Amino acid sequence: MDRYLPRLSRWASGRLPQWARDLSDTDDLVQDTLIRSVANLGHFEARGEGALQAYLRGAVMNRIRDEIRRKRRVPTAGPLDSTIPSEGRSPLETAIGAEALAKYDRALERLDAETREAVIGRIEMGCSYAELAEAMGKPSADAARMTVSRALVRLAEEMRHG
Amino acid sequence: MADDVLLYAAGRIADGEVVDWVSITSTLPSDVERGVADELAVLAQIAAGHRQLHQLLPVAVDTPPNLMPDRARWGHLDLLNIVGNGSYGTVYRAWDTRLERLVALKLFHGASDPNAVMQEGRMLARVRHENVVTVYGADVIDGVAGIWMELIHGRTLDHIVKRQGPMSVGDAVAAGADVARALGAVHAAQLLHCDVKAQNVVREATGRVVLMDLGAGTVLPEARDSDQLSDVTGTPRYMAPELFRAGAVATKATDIYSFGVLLYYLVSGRFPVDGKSLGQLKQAHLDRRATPLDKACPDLPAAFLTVVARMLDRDPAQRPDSTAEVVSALVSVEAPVAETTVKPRSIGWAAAAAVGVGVVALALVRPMLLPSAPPAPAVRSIAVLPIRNLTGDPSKAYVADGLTEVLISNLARIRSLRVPSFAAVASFRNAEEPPAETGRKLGVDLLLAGSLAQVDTTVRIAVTLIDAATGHALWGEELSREPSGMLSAQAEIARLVADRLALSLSQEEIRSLTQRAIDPRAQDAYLNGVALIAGSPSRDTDAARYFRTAVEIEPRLAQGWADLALTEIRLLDLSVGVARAERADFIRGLADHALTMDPDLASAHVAVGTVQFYFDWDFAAAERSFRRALTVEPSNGFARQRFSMLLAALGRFREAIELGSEAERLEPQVANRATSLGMVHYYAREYEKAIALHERSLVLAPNSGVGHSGLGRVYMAQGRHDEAIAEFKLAIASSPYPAWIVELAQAYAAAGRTAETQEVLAELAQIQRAGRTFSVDNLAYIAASEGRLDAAFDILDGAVDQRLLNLLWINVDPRADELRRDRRFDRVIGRLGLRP
Repeated sequence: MDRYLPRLSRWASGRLPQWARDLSDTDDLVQDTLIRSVANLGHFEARGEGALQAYLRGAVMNRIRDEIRRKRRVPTAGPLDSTIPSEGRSPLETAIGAEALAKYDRALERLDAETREAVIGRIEMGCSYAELAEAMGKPSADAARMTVSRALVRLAEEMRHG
Repeated sequence: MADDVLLYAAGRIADGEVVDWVSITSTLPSDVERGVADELAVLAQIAAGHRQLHQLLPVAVDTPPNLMPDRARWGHLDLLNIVGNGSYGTVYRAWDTRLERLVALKLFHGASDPNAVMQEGRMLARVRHENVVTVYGADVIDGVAGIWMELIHGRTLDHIVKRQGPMSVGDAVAAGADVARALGAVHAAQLLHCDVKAQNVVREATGRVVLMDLGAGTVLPEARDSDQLSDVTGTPRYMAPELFRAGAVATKATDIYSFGVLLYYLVSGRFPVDGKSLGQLKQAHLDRRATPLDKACPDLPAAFLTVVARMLDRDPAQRPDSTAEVVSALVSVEAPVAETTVKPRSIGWAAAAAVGVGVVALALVRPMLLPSAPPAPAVRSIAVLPIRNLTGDPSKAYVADGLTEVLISNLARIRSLRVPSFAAVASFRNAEEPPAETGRKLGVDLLLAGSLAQVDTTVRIAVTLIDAATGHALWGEELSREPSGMLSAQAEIARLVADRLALSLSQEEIRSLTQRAIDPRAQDAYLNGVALIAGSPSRDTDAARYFRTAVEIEPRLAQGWADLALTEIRLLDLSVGVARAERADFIRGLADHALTMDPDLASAHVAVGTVQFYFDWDFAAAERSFRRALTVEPSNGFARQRFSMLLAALGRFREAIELGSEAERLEPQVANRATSLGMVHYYAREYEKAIALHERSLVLAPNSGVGHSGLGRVYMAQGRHDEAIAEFKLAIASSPYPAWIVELAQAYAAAGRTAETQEVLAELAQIQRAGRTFSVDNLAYIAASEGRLDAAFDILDGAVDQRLLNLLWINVDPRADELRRDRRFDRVIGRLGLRP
């Protein structure tokens, strides 16, 4: 759990708008969520580390959504200058664009669990291929790399449908 | 097979590698797959966005970086994987989280003296050469010293020889000349390489040859301490004989000897002096048991054998004094044509090979890129394809378009380049056809394709230079900039392209390609404006507003002032005379202001020339302005077109047609160039040529009112009244421009269709009553055709008073033939200043 915390925290910080990150310390939020989630693990049938991570990530994401709902303020008029990122956006939205990111998220939801795990593990969490192989029960790092490549193509196909 | 290409691209995204989307999409057979590739490009951005987050919240590292590479960090570098180990330490592939790019990081073992490493870093950073690996920085972090540098993708020459056998002389000469230049740069920085060997020279997929592993910097003590060759990776075979003596030191001459061994090895796969152990090698040198290259490979060109023999001379004093001498000797080698098999690869060659497309032509690209190669054509043509917006945000399209236009302007400032305007390339925005086809349509030798991506606040602009004839990528570069540096990045790209094409730039050109970083808001407004005027149809009112904003924020932005001037000219209602005068002075003021900051700004000269031509009727001054614009920017098709129209007005048809033809040749895809030249031929009474050009313009821009009205005028001059009427009707259908309605009336009058003439004239009267204006000169032609000459000259006098633009061509216009016979016509011409 300890070794997973920094990554989860980093991942979560990418999903929170700037103002939300300023209001609540992401680390605390993640930690708090993890403690609560682990307490609920009794209800969860873990099938390998990957499944556990997915479960924890889902919990953090839900918590973030709650947090955003709770902290949402009346939006101010956005800056006219399009080069200044809107402060309501998360770093990822700023980097990629909210529309593209939303499309990505929707497409991701439609993928089967293993394909989704491969993408999130490598692209979002920055796991090494060796770690992925271990988490996903693949025989080697090379096999994990191939799984990720196939998953990305699959995801891109899904994104075409909006 | 397309699946393989997509998987290949996906794998590179997963690895965090840069993907050459231009090559990838060009190899995909269907829209479906290209659509998937576009989404993969978005995924690449998402992946890069996540990598950026690593910087915000790094994962804790609890083991030393040189022991645990995976996801570990050293300073601002994320270590990705080990690419090599050596006695000094370890080389990693790493991600530079600040500049968002992959680098090679050499981390030294704890035993290394950090001060010595920093000293080495400083020395290496002095070497800046295209064929030498670029050092980005050196630092000592937590007691671990490291140097990070450009990450090179390619194969070592050793690998190539071992896999494919000895090289042809042509290949060896091409690679050798690059190595010689690289080594020259090392020596010029007062450094010695000390380890020139086939394992240390890499040929990238683009054909670029890079000398690696600088800073071995010592005389390889381990080589002399050991008696076995196995643990010294063959390096002793490259050692000059004098280095085997105790106390010997490396010199330029020992580097040149090693280089000679490298050339020997490339063409033979063998070494001049060989042995199974260091002892045997030493003995072979003592016994002078070297195999001359002409014995090993007797059929090689004499010039090649001679230079290699000199480089391998036992006496250092007999070897070439400098690498420059080696370069000139190598390029004088005439390799048998059949032997030169250099196959420059496109960047996406692996993908292209996988699907069997992207046909590889055997044309030689390398010599063109070498300054010492046979002289390249004096003028080269390069088209900048619209930069692809890969930000994933469609609202950023204007940034991509604006940057394309700025890059075109910058390249056009290089006088030995011909660069079609944005209008010429706009239709190739998402072209999926092979580069050769695009090149043919645009009439250019080279294509520059680019993409724009944004990661957080960093903007990444990637460009690839493509040989249009072969489709091979010749060069690629990726620049990461803060948003304020986007304009300066375009200037830098133009300079890099010039470097890559070995174009020598004048001081003026170099100065004009310098752009400092500017306020991002001004830059944003400027790019918005540029994208709007480059668009079709151009939105001049909005563009002018953006340019005004840009220069208000950045008053030193000369291009902003010049583009504002040109836009304001287009916004003038040219059919209204007197009211323009004040506006003309205002516009001249804008352009003059731009020129005080940048006297070489072609667009400002065109703006000034246009004011002088259209409003001042100072034709000599206008000619000087257009000439100046074309001197500083010979590619400026717009300047050429307008100058051509000035010359036509003055009756200088030969020059006008020459200029107009050049403009049309340079930008065969721009309808306006064809219409303008068509008009010049019309004034010159070359009607068939005029018709052909107007018809071509209508192919390029179907339904263009300008094209139809141009045809109408020619038919009128030929007495083909019904056809003329049909064309004018088509022109009016595309846009109810009053001038064309007048011409329709004139056509009816000439055809003797009085009722219809009156009907159209009544319509015009209504237009006038409604407050809309139009150029009245056509009314004079109608009056003349009806024999009412007094009325015609009254109208013309009034038009001259108003300084109506259309009058400028009256001296050559076939429609005025009737009037020209009257002596009063000469007075009109005199008032216009058009009398020769």
